[in-house]
Amino acid sequence: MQTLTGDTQRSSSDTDAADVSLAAAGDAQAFERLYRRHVARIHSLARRMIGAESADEITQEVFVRAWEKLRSFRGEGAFGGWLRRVALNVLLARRRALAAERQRSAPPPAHESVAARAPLVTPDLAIDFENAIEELPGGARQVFVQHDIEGYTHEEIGGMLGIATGTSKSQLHRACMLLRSYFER
Amino acid sequence: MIASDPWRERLSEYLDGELESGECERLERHLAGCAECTLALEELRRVVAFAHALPDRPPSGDLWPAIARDIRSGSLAHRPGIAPPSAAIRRRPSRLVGLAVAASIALVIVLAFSGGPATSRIVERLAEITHLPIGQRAARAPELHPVPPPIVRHLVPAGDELVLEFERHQLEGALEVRVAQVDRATIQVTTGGQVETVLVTPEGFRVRNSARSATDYRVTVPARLVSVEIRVGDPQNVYVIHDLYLPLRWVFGLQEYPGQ
Repeated sequence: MQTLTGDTQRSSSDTDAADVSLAAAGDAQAFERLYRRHVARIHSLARRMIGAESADEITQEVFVRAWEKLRSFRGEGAFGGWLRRVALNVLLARRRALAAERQRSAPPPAHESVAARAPLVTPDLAIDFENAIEELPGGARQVFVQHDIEGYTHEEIGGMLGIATGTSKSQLHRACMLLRSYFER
Repeated sequence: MIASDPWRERLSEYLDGELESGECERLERHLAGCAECTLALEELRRVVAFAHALPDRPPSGDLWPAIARDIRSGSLAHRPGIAPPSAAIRRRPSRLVGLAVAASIALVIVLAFSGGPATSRIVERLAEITHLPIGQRAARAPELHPVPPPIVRHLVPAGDELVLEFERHQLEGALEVRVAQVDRATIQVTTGGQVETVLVTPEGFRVRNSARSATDYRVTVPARLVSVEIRVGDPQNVYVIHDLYLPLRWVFGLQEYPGQ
């Protein structure tokens, strides 16, 4: 079925492909256009995976990495998907270091009641929900973001995080059970 | 005690469609008699819906100047190497993977998708019911609607995107559709032969049946929608679909489903 959504995506992909070609040849303006189109997606991923305080830095690094590796992008899939994989590799490489840094600088927060820190009715539920995600324990948050927001399978997540598939499932369940209190009245 | 209920731990798998059919049936029987698990399932569903509907937000400041500076100076060259993106890591288009669909407006649906045993069974069951009138499908294949009340059950999953067809339904007054959208910004609405692209916000979207079309009303939405509310005319006549975490095509005709 031909849909406008599909047309829009195809159009966006075509635009990306043209700019990728130009950027791979050294055209920084073309790369800036790619940045403008994809920065919200990458920044949101970084914020959810690592936290707001590091999201800018991670995003910056992702795009610089992408610039460096652009010639390795063969155009077999969407640029957005390739860029997300660049981002995930950057995020996963930084995850352990950031976790260790946080443990040194601050005591671990209590996590068993997300609702206590995420009121149900607020002017901006989406932002509150994002905050609730950030309050999740690290492992549960990583799995939740990758599975329920980014759409990766438990098998893929297990491979990326170096955990068993069953662990990924149980972490997802834990995250969801914690987040569900967000909706309790 | 909540923690002692073994089924409680399986609800996420149930939502993901990862339970075997036997387990599914047992869980559904359990749900029928367990208000706590039913409530937990509903809340989990809302969590998933909300997660899928989260909008992407750009950074508060413009990062491009710093990126441009780094690009010019090659400032990452001194940083520890980061592996190139793995081709093995592919983003799923939705919570169930590998679904491809073709469906005609006559509701003749052809499916081809890869997946585990559970999805294969869905394909087999769909093949058994797609020739039937819509109104008979749910009764013939109730396992395709593994959602406890108050979910409307008169639905047939058959694809990787949602198609709500209002053919033959006499629309009276405004039609309102609210969707918890996931990762695309627009949906397609066809009414009276006219195609409209509707912007979807995190709060959902509203479609007015301005054409007052009695036929050919179709809403096509992307696969990762999670919940949809449809209000037709009478405020009491509300159709609620929550289980679109299944990346399947849902087709139903309102005329044949007067509601609950």
